[in-house]
Amino acid sequence: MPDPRPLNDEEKATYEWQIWVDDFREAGQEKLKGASVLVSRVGGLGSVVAYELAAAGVGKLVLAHAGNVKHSDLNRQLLMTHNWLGKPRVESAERRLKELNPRLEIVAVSENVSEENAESLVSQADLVVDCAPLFQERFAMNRQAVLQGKPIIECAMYDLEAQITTVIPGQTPCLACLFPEQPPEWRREFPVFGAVSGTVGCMAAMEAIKVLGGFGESLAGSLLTFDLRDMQFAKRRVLRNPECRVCGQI
Amino acid sequence: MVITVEYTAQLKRASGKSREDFELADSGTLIDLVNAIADQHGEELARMLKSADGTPQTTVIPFVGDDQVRWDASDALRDGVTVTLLSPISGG
Repeated sequence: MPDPRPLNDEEKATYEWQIWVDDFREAGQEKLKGASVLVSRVGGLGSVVAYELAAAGVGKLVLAHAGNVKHSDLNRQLLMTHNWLGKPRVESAERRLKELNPRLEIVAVSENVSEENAESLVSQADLVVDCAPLFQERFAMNRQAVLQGKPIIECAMYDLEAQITTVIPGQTPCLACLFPEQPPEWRREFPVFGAVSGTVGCMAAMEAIKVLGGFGESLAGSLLTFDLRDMQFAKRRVLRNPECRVCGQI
Repeated sequence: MVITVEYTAQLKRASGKSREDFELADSGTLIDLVNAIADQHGEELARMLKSADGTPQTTVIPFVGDDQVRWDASDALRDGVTVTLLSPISGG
């Protein structure tokens, strides 16, 4: 977990309203300042996660996302802008985050997470937020987060529905416990509104803030599911798989 | 016994509904339930729920009420429970 870093006067003024939260206080803010988070990718989910973490005063973000901004990104990828069409997504994300929080340290990587780079990317962060569309990326991040003992927030959406859970390696189910293999019917492009990815993105950011700040009750061991079509929410208990190929021996 | 099935995400889209009831024998299992769903609906939903060898897809998570259960649990069902079948989804 992060080493707390003392706040300067500007930071105390900037984060005053959240420092008023009783079980967070200045000590929690100092933990966020000392924290680093890997967000992959910075699309519909990751844009909102990264923006909220930047706003909350997390000290360092590692962003991994390949490719250039397309028209079809703009309904939900809130760090992408129309004037950045055709240019690298991760540069747009960095630019927008720096506008909000110039103190933020950003490591911008123009690659998606893969088996080849996951170890290095995860090693640069205290916590991971998995916002990737492909299960091979998600599995690579999950494996490294478990191996390196780092919490990982798993969030996902489809249509007006979403799922989110927090993985604490060795204590809770990991992604591979829940989905032991590549889902055969999953396709990387699917229906979704930006308001849905934004909702679950805010929840993921709040989960990260709680875990890093050491307060509140996270979704460790629980899967929150919701459907904004009828506003049904459920907090479900999920199980570790003792035969899990990733965390079964931990 | 009567079991209420709730579908999520792609399963909901393939079934065309959020929930429906199934009647099973009192000794019915989750496997029996999946077979009943597959028999009632078309090939698309059956393929999402069952692998080529006829066993449930391991990437669909069953819940009874709010608790995850194993596909091979023999005593998971009882009259009146709701089974949620959770479809794997991701980010983007």
